[in-house]
This record gives sequence, C-alpha cells and structure tokens, in this order.
Amino acid sequence: MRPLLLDVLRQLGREGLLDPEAVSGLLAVGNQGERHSAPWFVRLLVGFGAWVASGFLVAFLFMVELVPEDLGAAVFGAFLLIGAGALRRSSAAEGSDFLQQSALAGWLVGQLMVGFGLAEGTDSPPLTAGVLLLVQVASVAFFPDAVARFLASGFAVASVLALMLHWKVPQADEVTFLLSALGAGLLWWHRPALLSGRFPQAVNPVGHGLVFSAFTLLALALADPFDQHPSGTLSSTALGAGVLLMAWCLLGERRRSGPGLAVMGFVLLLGLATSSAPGVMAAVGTLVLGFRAGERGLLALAWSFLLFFLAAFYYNLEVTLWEKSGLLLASGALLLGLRALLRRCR
Amino acid sequence: MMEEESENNPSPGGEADRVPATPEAILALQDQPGVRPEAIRRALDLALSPPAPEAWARFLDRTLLFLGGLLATSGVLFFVASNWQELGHLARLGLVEAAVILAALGAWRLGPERLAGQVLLTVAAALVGPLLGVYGQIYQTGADAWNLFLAWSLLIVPWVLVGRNPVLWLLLLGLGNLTAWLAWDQLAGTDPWETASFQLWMCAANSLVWLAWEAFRRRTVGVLPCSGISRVLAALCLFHAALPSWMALLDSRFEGPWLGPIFLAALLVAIFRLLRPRDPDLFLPAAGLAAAISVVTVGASRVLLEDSAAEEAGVLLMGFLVLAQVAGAAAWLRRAGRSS
Repeated sequence: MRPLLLDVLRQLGREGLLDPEAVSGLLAVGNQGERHSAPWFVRLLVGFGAWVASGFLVAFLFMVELVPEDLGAAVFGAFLLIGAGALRRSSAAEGSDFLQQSALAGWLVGQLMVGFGLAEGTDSPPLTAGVLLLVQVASVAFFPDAVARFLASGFAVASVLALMLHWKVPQADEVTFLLSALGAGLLWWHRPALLSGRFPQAVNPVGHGLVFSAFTLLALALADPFDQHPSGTLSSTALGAGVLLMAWCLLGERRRSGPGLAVMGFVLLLGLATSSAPGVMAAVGTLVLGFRAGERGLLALAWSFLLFFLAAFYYNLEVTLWEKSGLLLASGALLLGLRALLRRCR
Repeated sequence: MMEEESENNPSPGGEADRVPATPEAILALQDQPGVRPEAIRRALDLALSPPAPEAWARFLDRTLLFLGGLLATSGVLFFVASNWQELGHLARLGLVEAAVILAALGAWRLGPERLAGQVLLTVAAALVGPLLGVYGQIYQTGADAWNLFLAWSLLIVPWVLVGRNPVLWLLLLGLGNLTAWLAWDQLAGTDPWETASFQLWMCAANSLVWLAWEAFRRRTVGVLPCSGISRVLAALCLFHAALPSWMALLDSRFEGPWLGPIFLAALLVAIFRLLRPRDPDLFLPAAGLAAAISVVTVGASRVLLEDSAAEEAGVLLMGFLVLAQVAGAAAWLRRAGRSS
C-alpha cells in the first residue's frame, strides 16, 4: 500500500532536497525509526499493564490513607501528572521501558486523583470535566507516549460528553459523537500536513483514539444509557454530507463520469436508507479514510464496526422476516450491480 | 512512478531496502544532518499520497463484492427462515442443499484463484452446517450438537484443502474446537471452563494442530497463505495452558496444579527456541509473554494479597511487579523487533 522509503529518498535526491550520497545512511536511520514503533499488540500489552499497575497503586494509596481528601487529592494528582510527564520526557526514560511504564502508570493515577479530588472537593461536574479536558489536551501535547495520547483522546471525548450532559444540550451524545467524528475526519484527511507540524508523533494515536471513541459513542447510543433517545438523523445527515464531500474530492475530474455519478448516487442512497443508523455511514467514511491513509488498523476498525452496525440496523428494522429478506436481497443485488457497472466502465 | 524506480534500479541492500515509507520512518530522519524541514514535508507528501485510481477501483470492487455477497446470502437465509413453517420437509432440505450445490459449482467454475470463487466456496462451506441441522431436524436423528459440528468439520475438509483460503481454515479450526467443547460438556458432564484436564487436553490437541500447520506450511509454499492462523493457534494453546494455571493458583481444589504452568513453559520454549529463529512475527512471543505475565501475576497476588499479613505492602509490590514484568516484556519485544 505504501512506496518504499528507498524510493522516497531517491526522489528527494532527484529534486535536490537531499544529498544523493546520504541516501543509504538515512535509509538505515529510517529503518531504525520504523522498527522503534511498536506493533498494536505490544501497545495493547503495555496499555493494559499500565492500567493494572495503576489500579494497584491507587488501591495502595487509599489503603494507607496517603490520599488527601477532596481538593488535596486533586493537587496530589496534579503533582503526579507533572512528575510523570517529566519522567517520561527525561533522557533516562528514552532507553528504559520500566521508566516509561512507570510514567504511564503515574499518569493514569494522576488523572484518577485529579478527577476524584475535584469531583469530591467542588461537587461541580462541569469544573471537573473542564479541568480533565484541559489535562487531556496538555497530555496530547506534552506527554510523549502513544498509549497515553490514545487514551487522552478517549478521555477528552468523555469529558466533552459530561459537559454536554450537564448543560443539557439536546442530543448530547449525538453532538459529542459528531464533534469527535469531525475531529477524526479532519485529522485523517489532513494527516500529511499535521505530520509536518508541531506534534507529529501525536497524530496517529489521537486519530485512532478519536475514531475509537466515536464508534464507542455510537454503539452506546444503541443502548441509550443517558436517556437521550437519539434518532440518528442529525448524525446521519452530517456524516452523509461528509462522505459525499470526500467522494467529491477523491473523484476529482471523474466526478461527472458515469462511474463517478454512480458512486455519488450510491453514497446518497446509502445515507438516506440508513438515516436511522449513523454507524453504517460512519464506518463507510472510516473505510474511505483508512484506505486513503493506508492505515490497516483504521481499516480493521472500520470493517468491524461496519459489520456490527449493519447487523444492528437490519435487526432493528420493524418489519417482518419476509420483508427483511427482501430488503437484504435488494441491498445485496444493488451492491453487486454497482460492482458490475463499475467493472464495465473501467 | 516510484514503483517503476524500484523495478528499474534494484538495490543490493536486501531487507532494509524493502522498508515501507511510514510516517515513523520518515520522522526519524528529522534531526539528521543535511535533512531540511522541507525535505521531511516533501517525503511525507510522497509517502502519504492518496492511492492511485486503479487501487481505488480494486478496493471498491472487493468491498462491493464482499458486502453484496454477505447481504444477499443473509437475504436468502432470512427468506428461508420466514417461510420455514410453511415449507415441507423435502422443500426445506432441497433449498439448503441447492444453495450449497450452487455455491460449490460457482466456486468450481470461477476457480480458487479468483476472489469471487473464494467467496462462493466459503459460503458453500458455511451452509453445510445449516444443511446438517435441517437434516437432523427432519429425520430426528437424535444427534447431539457436537455430532453436528463434527460432521460439519469433516465434510468441509476437502474444500479447505482445495480452497487455500485462510477464512476456511479458521472456520475448520473454530468448528473443531467447538466440537471438542460441546462433546466434553455432553459426555463428561462437567463444565469445560472449570475442568483443568479438559483445558490441558485442548492445549495438547491444538498444539499438535499447530505443529502440523507449521511443518506443512514451510514445506508447501503458496498453499497455506495466512500467518494469522499461526497467531490464532498460538493464542488458543496459550489460553488453554494459562486458564488451568489460574484455576490452580486461585483454588487449591483443582488437581494437578503444576500441569498448567508446565504446559505453558513448554509452549514458551517452542515459541522462543523453535519458532522465533525462523519467524520474525512478534505476535507469538508477545502472546507468550502476556500469558506468562498473567500466570505470574495471579500467583503473586495469591502470595502477596491473600496469605500476607501486610496487605498494603503486598498491593504496592503487586503494582511494581506488574510494571516490571510489562516493561521487561516490552523491552524484549522492541529489541527483537529491531534485530529481526
């Protein structure tokens, strides 16, 4: 799915941006950089381990009554966060996985302390959520750990949801979902530019975190735990417009050709047909973004949620089995027909 | 253009030259002498340029085929389900049988080399189960659930061998394990989740399958395409070894408390000494380390938390123990990833 690093470096040499003699040396450095980035299962192991360790550490702090009450706990947590950040950014932690793990566990414990202390001390949900939101933003910027940045994105979305619920924003969960979906969409669409910016290492973890959070909110909406009774229409309309816009940009000069119009028409039809199930359009949008970015993880996430939301959509249709079978057959035939049309036009 | 460059100017550098231009690889060049910020920006533009129209066409083609096939198949199933009560015995059997035969014929016609052929073969294999279910329902064979899954597994073996499709292999693996679980539940009368001997038998059986898979895979290039199957087999074996270990550590009523850790140790030796030198996939050692960490952590919690007078110190030690284990595992995996 991607070009080779060697070819990219050679192209830079041809364009005068690199000394062609330096290519082999830079190739070795790039190779090391690629190998430094851990696969998803290593990050999962690290993240899970940090959660378990922080659970034990928090339990210890409470058992020995080291945790001050109320706002004292928040101050204690703030110091822990600063300390964990300093530890993680230190040169000692660069070469030590133990120190990196300790910093991550300390960061998690600090978050818990700040949240617990503010909630108990101020009894003000918006203040607690607002401060935690700022903590997540600061963590993304200044805590150089992929797992922490991924989690911080999720915590930020949760903080925004808490604020929306407190302020009784109508369809709070839907609005929060749209904000996270918009953030994820913009991030993945403009990823090359963001990777050249101030916090390049934060782009991928935050992008994955926002997508995962958005899908989690959609899945939660099926159970409606906040009694919001979401209709899904707002989300579906916004997502449908977003995917149409992406298709419009991606098709370029082909947008007025037969296949281009067929694709745009299909997207419009899909949006209308699944207006009560925004998860389907969200997953389709994520598939497109994932393929465009060449990110297998994003594609896997999109496929998993697409199948989940498609199953939920058809399951929740209030029609007979006979009618459901007809709809499924018609949907399948439409997709296969579109495939045949596109193959003919190639 | 850059793909043509690779073909016209092959480099003798070997593996290092096949490194993809990921953002991580490019960002690692940022602080190198002679590398300007505009070079990094241009490299990112080149590496992250959107796929070519042909790639988009292939992606759309496969996505529409997969989803269209899935929805149409589901539609057929729902149609049959909605009319099931009204259908006679022969009609029920005939419908499902016709679906299997048509799918299999379509797969034979298109061939396993084509994606559509693979999809049809998978559909045919998946429908064998419902066919057996309908047969058992009509003729009241009195067969247990495990009999059905066993028959299903055996009947699809030829297709799995011919298909060279990882989904079919995973289906067969899933059916085999499900057969074993249901058979034990039915015949032995004990809960397989709480029976250490069953778990260890499953570990041994899946280990044999894994051994056969690795041996066959290396001798038959191109026939067995998916290293993901090794990962699934490894995860199954490790789970079946770890579960009785946890049970024995948490409840002294369980017999043979050391068998689980012995099986686990044998699996770790196999992963690190036999497989690791030949397979750079880090998932297997990562899964092994995760299983070992879980067993050590459960064992340590038993000693430090339940049997200890100083519970607070035990909780603190547990936190550091988990940190140290995970840090050690992550360090080993990163070093192994760099050296492979």
